[in-house]
Amino acid sequence: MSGRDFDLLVVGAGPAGAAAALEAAGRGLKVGLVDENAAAGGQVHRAPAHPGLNGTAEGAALRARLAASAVVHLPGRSVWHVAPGFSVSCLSPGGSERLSAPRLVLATGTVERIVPVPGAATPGVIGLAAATILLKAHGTHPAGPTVVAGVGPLVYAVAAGLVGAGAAVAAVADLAAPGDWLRRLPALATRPALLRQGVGWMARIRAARVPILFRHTIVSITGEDRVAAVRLAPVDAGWRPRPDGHRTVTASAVAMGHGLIPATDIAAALGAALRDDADSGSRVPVTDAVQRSSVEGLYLAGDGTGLAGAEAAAQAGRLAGLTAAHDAGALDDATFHRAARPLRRARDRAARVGRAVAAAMAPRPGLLGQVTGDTVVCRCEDVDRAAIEAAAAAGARDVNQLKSATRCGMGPCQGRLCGEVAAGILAACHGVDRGAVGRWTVRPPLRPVPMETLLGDFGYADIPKPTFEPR
Amino acid sequence: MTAAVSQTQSLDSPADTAVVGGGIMGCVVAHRLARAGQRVVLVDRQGLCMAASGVNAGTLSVQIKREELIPYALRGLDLWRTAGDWLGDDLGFREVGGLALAFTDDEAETLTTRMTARADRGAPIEIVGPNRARELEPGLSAAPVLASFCPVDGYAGSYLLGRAMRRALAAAGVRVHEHCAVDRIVPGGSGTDIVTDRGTLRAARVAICGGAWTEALLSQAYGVDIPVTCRVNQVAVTERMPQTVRRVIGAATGLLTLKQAANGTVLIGGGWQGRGDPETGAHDILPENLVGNLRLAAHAVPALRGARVVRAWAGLEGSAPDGLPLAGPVPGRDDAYVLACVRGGFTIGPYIAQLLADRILGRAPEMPLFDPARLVAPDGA
Amino acid sequence: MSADGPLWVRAPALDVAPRCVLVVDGVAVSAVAGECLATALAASGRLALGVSPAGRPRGLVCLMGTCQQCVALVDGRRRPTCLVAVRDGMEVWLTDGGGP
Repeated sequence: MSGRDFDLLVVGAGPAGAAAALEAAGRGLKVGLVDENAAAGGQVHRAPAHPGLNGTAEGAALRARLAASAVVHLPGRSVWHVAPGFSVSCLSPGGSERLSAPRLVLATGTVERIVPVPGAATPGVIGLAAATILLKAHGTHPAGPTVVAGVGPLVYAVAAGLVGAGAAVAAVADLAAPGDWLRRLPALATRPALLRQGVGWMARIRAARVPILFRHTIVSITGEDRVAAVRLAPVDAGWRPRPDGHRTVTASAVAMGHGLIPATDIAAALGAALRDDADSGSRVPVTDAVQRSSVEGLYLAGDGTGLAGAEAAAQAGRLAGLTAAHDAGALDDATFHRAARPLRRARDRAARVGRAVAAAMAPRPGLLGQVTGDTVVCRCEDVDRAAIEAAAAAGARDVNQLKSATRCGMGPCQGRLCGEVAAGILAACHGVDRGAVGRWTVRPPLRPVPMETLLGDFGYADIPKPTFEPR
Repeated sequence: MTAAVSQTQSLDSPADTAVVGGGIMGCVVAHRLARAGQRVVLVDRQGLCMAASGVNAGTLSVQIKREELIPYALRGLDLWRTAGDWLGDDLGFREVGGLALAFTDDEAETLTTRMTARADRGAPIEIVGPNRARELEPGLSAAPVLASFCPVDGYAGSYLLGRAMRRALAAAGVRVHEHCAVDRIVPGGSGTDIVTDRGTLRAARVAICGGAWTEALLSQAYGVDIPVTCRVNQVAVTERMPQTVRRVIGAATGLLTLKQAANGTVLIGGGWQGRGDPETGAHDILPENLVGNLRLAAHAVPALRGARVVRAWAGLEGSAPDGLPLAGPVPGRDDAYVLACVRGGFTIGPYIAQLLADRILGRAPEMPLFDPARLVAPDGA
Repeated sequence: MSADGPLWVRAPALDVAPRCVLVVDGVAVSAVAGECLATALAASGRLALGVSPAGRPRGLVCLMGTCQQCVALVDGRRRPTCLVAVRDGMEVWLTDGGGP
């Protein structure tokens, strides 16, 4: 493994991470920006695969600024381990690399919550975020009728995107009711551009005569190796599917998602203090007013610290970069406070809107009602809800006991897709809050690592023969 | 009894024996004592078998044990063969046979010397050439120059141990207190108080089975100072893959254990060290040691280069200065016992635990224990 | 797989995009240069990318490298196809996902 030293490392090149890197580099720090994707922008400003596709203007600007900056951009690298102090092990097709820096900004964003139903693991059922990337960055979409379901703005973004691409949308099913959105209007009105965007999506969907079913969810998907039909059901105010009023629509694809979960793996593994976050229904790292975590030298920014949206993420990222530069001695206290104040204000103003959207998407207790006993929860290991309930009945009280008992979360995704759903079911079995069933122990690698790439070429003499003890 | 203790609420009714530490050895001690009619209480700061007992690589190998421990390992293996009966779950135990590999002439010499000594102690070990080794394990590379084969080596799923022990202890009537941290142990004339964060346990005698935490427990409770080194053993596991290796593979250097479970995942260990601290319980792998361990695995079984590692972890294990178990009375006491530092404890632990339980019950153990007094300086206790 | 018409289609803007050719399970597949492999596979009608331990088909879910459901054997290595950019001559096998 080759090694490289920086003053600051930033993990994640979305709006938060890129802003942090640019700010810190602008203050004179030697900054390395590590990202899994080939181009910066994160998911929200993902670079289009071809110039004929329109990416966001913000994304293009961000990539141009990075290219013109002193930031050492390290794309195409999956971080698989982070050691305190900080040493970041990452993997690219070229091999394993060790990067180190005394300061680290984590801007790892979110993963999508996908609450499964029978048939949800059928090929052709994808997340809303994935559908967005495919539409916007890759200009590729399902040819046949698609059901778009779940909660949050992405439901409408995807449905409108499909309609705009000339594709059939069989139905839109939104867990929220119109009133849930109307109640957030005052906050949304402070960002008219966002509001206009939402109204535009809705108009486009309506114009295509796509049925929009509020307070509805998918309760099953049928088809063998592809989607054939989708069953929809109304839900109550707590999002539990009602027993009657179901309808079946013919569809060949499904895009579904139930909100976002902050990606907190690395922060948790480094021992950062966490707090409960109702908007995402999970736990997120604690940050101070200027983006410091509870761990010395570790800073956090973006939706990984709680859902606040891209604009707030960019401001928080800039602030994290500024704070790291200050703590590294690159600027004095007075300069720091003067520069931080407007960033804090901008962050908090933008976050009010982001939080209003997040609150409308916050998971409600009945949501797990759509996960029937025969629904596959852990796709990697084929663990269904009934198996989780059986393990709970046999005495599994926390998620790590559940893991041992069922292999739920032991496959290649390591529970990153199913973990929160499985934990919610376990909590429901015991009639306790999600928090009472514990945290999944974060174990490296943070992504599966191909041994071929990790090991490189070596001979027996290259393998150290440490003596750990008298034998 | 101090005032602080008397103010603490009782957590459970008085017991004949309190076992401190719910790893494989503490659990088996408690199980055997309860089966013999004792009232037994067991306490652990985590869940049962969450440290070394539950996160080791599951190797049940006789040939990689130290010479002195071979007879114990063979008896331990007998217990694994019958685990379905006494434990109620065999944890997927499989006796697939194992190979230990020498990759250089020096290693071949060491291997021959060690394996001959271990065979003299009763281990069914055969030294085989590289061609025979590849017949026994077609997945091997051309790299080994010599190997030893032990047909009784095998493995079991260590991650399933806690669940099985919980059931077995409940059935035997042991009162188990998990996630209950021991604050201090206070020996007295009429019994010992074990003060925990959830109340006090009282017992006529105590068995300290505290793994990597044993040194602190002995020192606090009895003023007995036995240095216990904390080892932080790393293990890695691949995703499911087609059958690649059938045997348990080890190395003459002791730096490798490798086996493929029935579900297709391959577990790779060998005692490579991570970083960890028994005081905080925090532990993590060291990436460079993971790479070293995996390189050795791929050197032995080249098809592993196509695998992906999905998970790696470390477990804290106690080790005594002479590498041999602590198993017997706490020096200078007739109301306290210690059982810890059994290297290869997943294989040997259940058997030595039964020996210690017999000693506590006043029966003569079938084989000698390992008196901890040997490690106490003459002017110490 | 596409006997009854394509399952996925591309935007007209990509009609003029430079192409490259992959070999998927021994069959030549045209892809848009620069796109990720998961997209190229979907656009060619290949949605079932691997199988679960119980033998059920699995396809892409997150497109961000998290879900690991889109893993295929790419030039001899198992990789999430959503994190792989297509390349001319890339050899892809979808049938290698199973256990023993």
